Amino acid sequence: MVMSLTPPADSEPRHAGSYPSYHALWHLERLGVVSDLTRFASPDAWGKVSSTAQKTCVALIDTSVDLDHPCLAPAMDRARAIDFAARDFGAFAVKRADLSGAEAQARSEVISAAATAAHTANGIAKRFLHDLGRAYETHDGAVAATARAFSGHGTSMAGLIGARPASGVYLHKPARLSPHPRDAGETEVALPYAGIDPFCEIVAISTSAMPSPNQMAAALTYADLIGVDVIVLASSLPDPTRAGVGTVPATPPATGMVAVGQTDTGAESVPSTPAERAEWDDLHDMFIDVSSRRLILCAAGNAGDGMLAYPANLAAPDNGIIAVGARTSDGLRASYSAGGAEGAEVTLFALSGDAPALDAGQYRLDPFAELDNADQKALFDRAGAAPVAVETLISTDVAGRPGYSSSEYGQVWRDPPGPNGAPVAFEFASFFCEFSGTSAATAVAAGLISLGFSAGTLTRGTAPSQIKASLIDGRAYDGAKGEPALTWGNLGTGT
Amino acid sequence: MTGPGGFDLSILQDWALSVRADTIELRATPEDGEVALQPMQQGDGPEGPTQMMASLSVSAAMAGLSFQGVLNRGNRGNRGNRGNRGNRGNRGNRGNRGNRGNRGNRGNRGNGDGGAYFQILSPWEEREKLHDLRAHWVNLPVSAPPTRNDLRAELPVLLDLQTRLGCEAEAGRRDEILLERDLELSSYLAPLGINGGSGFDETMRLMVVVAQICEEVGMRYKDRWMAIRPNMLEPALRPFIENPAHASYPSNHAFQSMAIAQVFARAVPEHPGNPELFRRAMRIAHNREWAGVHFRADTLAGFQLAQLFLPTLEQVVEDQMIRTSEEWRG
Repeated sequence: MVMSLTPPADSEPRHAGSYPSYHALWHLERLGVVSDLTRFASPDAWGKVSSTAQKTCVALIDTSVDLDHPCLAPAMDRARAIDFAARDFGAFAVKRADLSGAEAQARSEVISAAATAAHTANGIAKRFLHDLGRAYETHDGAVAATARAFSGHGTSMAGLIGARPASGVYLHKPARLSPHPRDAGETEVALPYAGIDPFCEIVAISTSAMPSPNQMAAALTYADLIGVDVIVLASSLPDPTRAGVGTVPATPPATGMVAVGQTDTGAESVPSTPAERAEWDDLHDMFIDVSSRRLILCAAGNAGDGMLAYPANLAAPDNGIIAVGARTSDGLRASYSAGGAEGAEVTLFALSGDAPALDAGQYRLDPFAELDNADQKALFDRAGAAPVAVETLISTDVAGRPGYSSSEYGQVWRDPPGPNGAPVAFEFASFFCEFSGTSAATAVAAGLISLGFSAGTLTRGTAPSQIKASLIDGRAYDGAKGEPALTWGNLGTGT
Repeated sequence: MTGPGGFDLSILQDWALSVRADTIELRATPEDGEVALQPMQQGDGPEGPTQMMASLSVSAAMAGLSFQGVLNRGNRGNRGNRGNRGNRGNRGNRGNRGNRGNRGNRGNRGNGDGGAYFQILSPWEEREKLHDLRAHWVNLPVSAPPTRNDLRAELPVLLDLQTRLGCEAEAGRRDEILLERDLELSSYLAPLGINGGSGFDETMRLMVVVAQICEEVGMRYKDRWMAIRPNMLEPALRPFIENPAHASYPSNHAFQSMAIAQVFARAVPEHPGNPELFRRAMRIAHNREWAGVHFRADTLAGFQLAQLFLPTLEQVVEDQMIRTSEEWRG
């Protein structure tokens, strides 16, 4: 009955399609945030967060987030959530009429702060702040494109960072399962999922994949304006000169291969005009500038092709940009993660899921997948073969059919509600999902750093480059083993 | 017992989620695990029988409460015909009704002239939703068309493009222009890696439905301004293709292509081909300027309209977007 968190290596027979089980919050114990998965004792992490302390604020620049997920609703900031997909200079995700008094006040403060900051800003930041500072006129009629149905990625990121356990949720009990067949009912359950820092607040800044530097510039300016403690950006931006599309030999005296952008290869569908390239240059400068005040965590990339995504590839010791690679529960760099190639090193590795890989460079196979073929089984005996790690990260998902986890029911919540109007769901699995990749690793790193601020291990106001250096703490880089890895234990002494 | 800062730690202590492959289980964890499952065991601890009774009464209420579900892969069985034939009881289920594959053809892939075409039945459900939401899109704040003076200022660029289009270097672009007159999908499918037309019917249907919906919406805005085509302002322009019968501003090609890109990027945000999909959409729109049938301003207005229409559009084609994202999640 006691749940074993690290299944013994021989706990399940190989090749039979029978997988070991693990606790959905295994990563909290592995990272050292909690010391056990029954009492969830956390004396030097959760236990250190004072209820009167200032909440750590995390800006999540990603897709939209499901603000109503029971585990996320207490964490998500409704007043300041904003969308840049439907409007270049932003549209607030929650309509003013739906805000509480305190939330409306918080939004007014953002708008006034923008009006003030516009005076000292330049370029695209100035135009954005000027527009936001007059939001009462400029945002009139603006509608955000933040439908929860398409908020899967952002919801999973937010869950890993700061979800809270939710009680008071009921599951529908169909009539056929009741002793009295005419009696459908409900059972009270809970959603026992927690993010790494269940004390932080998360501001969802929703962006689209449109290759528009101005959209990202506005998003960054907004995150800077509202004074967040950490910025999380788990996507790569298609800067035509800085986002690598291939590698070419470096110009001597430099050696090795360097990434080259789309412009240099002449492969562009739409040639970038000098004006557009100037906008991308301004965005680059803005990244460096904002990262001198706030940490920016970027996903290193999932292509496993030796190139870092942009802007992760801007990480340098003198700025606050952190490129996060993925490290599995087996203590190896994940097969898909950037950070293995020389010259394309990440800053840190954080825990994430694993994936099979089979090529000249790696041999990562799933030992529990069903196989009845002797030839395929023999592959596992080849030199250098490593098993795929069993555990992957579990996070929150948009409930119901949308999101990563699906549902066989057309609605999420039953109508009529349960006792005292409590919400009754038809099933619970669609509230969660498996989430992996360097995106999940970035969320894990963000959760740890946020918890560091919440618990006082990291001090606000410290220069981001200094925080970064203390997280690395002089440890040697090992791309194969995923070092230096970020855990609660080695969050560093702060300063 | 509440943890500091207000979240309830006891929830994590009383309930547990465990995962095995893609199955997830939610279970109530009794106070003292071993005792709850073996009520006949006599404890040897100092608490003796009293403790035992207390544990039993808790566990009697909580023990056995366990729920299971599937993560990520969800409705696999229902996406094909076979899963449904065994599932008669689910015919009332929305989840299965969404599986168009059971009712017949999703659409027909055509050969056309070497391009990728996908014919669908009339999307009446999406049109119904579109018109239910009419108030949200009839008056979007699209910029008004430029003055004749400003349009005249754009003409030298168009004349230059016309000349360059005739060169040998732009032979590929001429082919593209001819192919893109009607909705041809290969430019959209190629950056997604599926331009072979196999197994991505929902994605193709999404693109065609979005194009048809946006055609209708864009036509309303065109009729509002009745803007002039470039070669009607300057007859010396010789467009490479015939002028369509409708007004110039905004460009429906720009509107439709950008809307397709926006909608797909919302449905499948992790696809690495999304930025390139946007760039192809921009190329298709830009090609219309090369062809001499649109001003630059028309293209920019089409892009603007696509962005303004996105919040409504993602409600209109919501079901199709969800089916598309399921198609990619496998």
